[in-house]
Amino acid sequence: MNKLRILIDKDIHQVKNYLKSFNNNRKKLIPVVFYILWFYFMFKSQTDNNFYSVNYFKNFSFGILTFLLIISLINIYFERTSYFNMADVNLLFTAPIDSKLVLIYAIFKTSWKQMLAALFMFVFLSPSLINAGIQFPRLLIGVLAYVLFIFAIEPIGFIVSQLSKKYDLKILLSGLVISLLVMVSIPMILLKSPVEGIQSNYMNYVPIIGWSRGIFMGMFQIDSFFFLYIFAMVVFNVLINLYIIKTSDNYYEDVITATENKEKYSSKKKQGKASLNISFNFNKNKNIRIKGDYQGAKAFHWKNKLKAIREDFHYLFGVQTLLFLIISVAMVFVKGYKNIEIPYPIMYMWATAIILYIYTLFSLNAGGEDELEMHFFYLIPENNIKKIIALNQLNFQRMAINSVAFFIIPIIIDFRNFISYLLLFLVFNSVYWMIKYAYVLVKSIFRNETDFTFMLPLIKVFQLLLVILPSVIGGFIGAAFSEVTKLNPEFIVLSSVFTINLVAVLLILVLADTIINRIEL
Amino acid sequence: MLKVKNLTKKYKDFVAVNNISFTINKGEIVGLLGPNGAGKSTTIKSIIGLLRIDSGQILINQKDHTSIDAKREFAYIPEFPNLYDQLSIWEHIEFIAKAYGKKDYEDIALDYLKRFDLIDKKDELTTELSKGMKQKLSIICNLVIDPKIYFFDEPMIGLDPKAIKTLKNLLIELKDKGKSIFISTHLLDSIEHICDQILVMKNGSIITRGSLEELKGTQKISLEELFLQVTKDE
Repeated sequence: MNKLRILIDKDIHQVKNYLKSFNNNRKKLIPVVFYILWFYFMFKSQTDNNFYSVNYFKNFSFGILTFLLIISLINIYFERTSYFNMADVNLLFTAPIDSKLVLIYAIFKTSWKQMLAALFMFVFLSPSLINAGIQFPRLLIGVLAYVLFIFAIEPIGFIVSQLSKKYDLKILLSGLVISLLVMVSIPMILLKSPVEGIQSNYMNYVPIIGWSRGIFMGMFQIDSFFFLYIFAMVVFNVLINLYIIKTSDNYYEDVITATENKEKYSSKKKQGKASLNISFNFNKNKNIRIKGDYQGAKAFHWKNKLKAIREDFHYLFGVQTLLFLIISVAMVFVKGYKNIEIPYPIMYMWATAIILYIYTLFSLNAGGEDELEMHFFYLIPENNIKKIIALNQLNFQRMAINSVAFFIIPIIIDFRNFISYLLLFLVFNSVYWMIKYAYVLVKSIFRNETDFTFMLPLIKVFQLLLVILPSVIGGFIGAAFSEVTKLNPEFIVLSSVFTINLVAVLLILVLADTIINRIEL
Repeated sequence: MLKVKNLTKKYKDFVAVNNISFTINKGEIVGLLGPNGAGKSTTIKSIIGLLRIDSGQILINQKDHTSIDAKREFAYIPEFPNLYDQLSIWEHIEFIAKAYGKKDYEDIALDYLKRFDLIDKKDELTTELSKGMKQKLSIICNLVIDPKIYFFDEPMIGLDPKAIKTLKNLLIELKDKGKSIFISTHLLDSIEHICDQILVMKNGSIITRGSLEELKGTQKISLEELFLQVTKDE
């Protein structure tokens, strides 16, 4: 008990010091204010929302639970699921404190943090739920569903990490994912509709995700199954935690790598530099030789080529290209199958916007090119314009090929709108260039590393503006011009967006010297 | 004080430490040398129980190395000082003293803080410290424990020359107090004259051992030259 007190005291000190640090550095308050404002506006928009159907909440809860599980599996794959930090490894693991006590306390601490996150989410969701006719005490059922879910998936990560020391991690995760896919597919196949499958009560039989969804939906209607789901989740949680405690005599080695990875990842995340870099490493052990002379700045292009060959089918195309092609084929197929009346160019315009939106979101989370964080990028004696071009040359080439894969299908079946697809292709690529260069600009404007960390949310909003502003300006100019000239508005707007983006990119290249010289490491 | 018998540690099929045995007596300083990837850190981490051993036996003061009783007998100073971001220097010392059940540690801790030039920063959070300062704090935390044996894994990396000198003096003081020290380092000249015994590792095995005099034999060479001689590839 005395040792537990020591652990609690340590964390109380940490929380106190964290709160005090706001007083010592007022800049730290900026993101807090930003988050409060953001939360307020999101909360307000939920309050103003109209009624959502029960099916909406069925889909929403299933979607969010599946998403959280996928994130958890990704973290397990990258070995960054850990209850601990590196200070625990060095100071706590070697101290004369029972390893089981250390683990139980760490599980409790993690769960407590998750409880706070659950409450935050439900405060945020409560207006929509109240609009849907859910009264306050029943909101707690939703909180319970989330808490039981989180309590279940955290230990799964720990157990998989432990088992991965004996068995192949990829096989373990594949087993988990395949069993989950099979279970989720059964209701969809039985009802011959993915949407109806998700909304059906059969989906509630899927362990963890389904049971939690079943509890969540208890906010709307409580039946005997509701208690069964709670029972199943509680039993699962108790069993999985008992298993951990029983087998956790000698777990230190199992958690060290994951703890190191988690710490590196969260440190990068705090600085807005955590990339999602999912690579397939198709040619991991292949001895790769690239012909040609890549001197000076071209060395970056050579390095990117090498990396691309190692990770993908070919240095110019790969898994993403295939994905673009599949999406394009699926769109054409769905349009034909469901008799959707939207014209192809409009459909592809929306798809382009959605894909660019996703890219922008990832780029905001992932920061920029890794080279910008490395000293050699600045020290290599070469012209900055050449360096900045070489840095992204392969990315741009690959994206051009990806977008060809995306637009080739509509061009073939709807050739009369070739110009529209060509313009969409140009807009797609020019916005992508801006996505890549916006981070360089942001690094150059917000130079102080400490300020960069403190004001990250605001900086990310600024980065987003840098990406979308040229397109918005181009769009307005194009719309006004087509109004005056009575020319095809679609053609004029897309041309203007591309032109403004191109001008912005050229401006960045012309000013590359000034921009790069301003960046501090 | 420390008995390592037939220790083997594998990472899947790779043998990182291959069937090594050695002992460290009370009041002895033992240097663990070896090129990068020789298995030095793995050896230390295996001894202190951060890594699971595949075979062998490790006793720290007659106690199984993973037992809580054994943990009271040793301190570990890692190569990279990982500390709690939101604890101050003094709070770290307080936490460690409590965790090891140490009372009346304040004066000793203050003395160490003075010797390592950290006294003025004792209330600062570790996020405000440089890497070298963090390393000093990591060392102080472990000195406060006052155990019977110390495991140092590259403790001098990041330290300024004055701190290195202070640490060297401290090692000698600890030895005089009957403490045992097991130290891995690449800064050979810093331990050349204080080690009672030297173990040289390569590819997971101990390839040479003995006192400096025994290893040098009749050759008039430095420890660095000796090291290069014994670790060079055939």
